[in-house]
Formats: sequence, C-alpha cells, structure tokens
Amino acid sequence: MSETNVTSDSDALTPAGYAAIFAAWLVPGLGHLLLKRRGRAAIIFLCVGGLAVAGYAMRGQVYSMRGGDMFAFMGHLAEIGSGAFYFLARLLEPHGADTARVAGVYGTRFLTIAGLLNFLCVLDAWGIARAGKN
Amino acid sequence: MGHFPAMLLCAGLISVAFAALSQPTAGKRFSRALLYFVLFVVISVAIGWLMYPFSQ
Repeated sequence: MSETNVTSDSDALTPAGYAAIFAAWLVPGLGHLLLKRRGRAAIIFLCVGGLAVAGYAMRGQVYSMRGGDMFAFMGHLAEIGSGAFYFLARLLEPHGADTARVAGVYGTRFLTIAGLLNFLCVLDAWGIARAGKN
Repeated sequence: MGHFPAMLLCAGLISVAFAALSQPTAGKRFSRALLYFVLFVVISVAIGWLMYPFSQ
C-alpha cells in the first residue's frame, strides 16, 4: 500500500521566489520586477512610494520600534511595511514629524497605509512566485 | 493639504494599486481603478455626512 505524502513540498518556493518576496518588501515593486511583472511593479512602486513621500511631505509621525505603547508599536509594524521608504525616513523627512498640525496627522495615516499596501503587494508577489513554481 | 485633497490623493493611489493587483490587463485595471476611486470618494463623503450630527 502506497502512502501519500500529505505535506508535500509543492508549496515550497525556490530561492529565487523567496528572494522576490523579500525584495517586494524591501523595495516596493522590486519583487514583481524580479517575477517579470513589470507593469504591476511600476504601479506598486509609484503608489506605495507616492503615499510614503506624501506622508513625509505632510510631516507624518514615523514610529520607532521603541515607541513606548502598543499603539506606537502597531504603527511601527504598519509603517515598516514600506521597506526602503521607512528606512529612508530621516532623509525624506529631515525636519521630523509635526502632528500638531492636521496635515501631520494625515501624513501619519498616509505612511501607515503605504506600509499596509506594500504588505498586500508582498502577498501578491508570494502568490505569483508560488504559481510560477507549480 | 486640506481634508478633501488628501482624501482624493489617498483614494486615487490606493485605487490604482488595488486595480493593478486584482486585474491582469491595462483596460480592466483602468476601469476597475475608476470604480474603486468613485466608491472610495462617495462612501467617504457619505460617512462624513452620517457623522455630522455627532460633531454638534
């Protein structure tokens, strides 16, 4: 009697697939570019980058890992989704956050949305990498 | 930047990204992005009006 391996490695990705997923997080759109989805890559880069740059232009809050409370930590988790745009925060927002003005509050929301949107794009890259592998 | 321009910018960028992720061709992406954008704006304004009595 033959046994079927239920946990087959059909879901396992190639190293290139893992690299594409990591690249998709690090630079929005780069993962899709590596997976030869050029149009989607350009749109993702422009949309995530546009949201992040607009957020910095409005002087939104950039949450650090040691924010002090759970809300700041969750903000950090969301914002870090935009990868390079998060790590370049000091370059893109040299004067720091200004949430005393309402534009700064909007900017914080823009930065959060940019990160969350890029997490969605990473999931899309993962799906494409899986489909390409099978 | 005021409330409404910020909302339009945010809705526009998110709509285009969602359309790019959900549709395979440029034509379908354009029509879907337009639909998402209109829905974003209409629903946002509707929610704003629904919240209006509570702001008094």
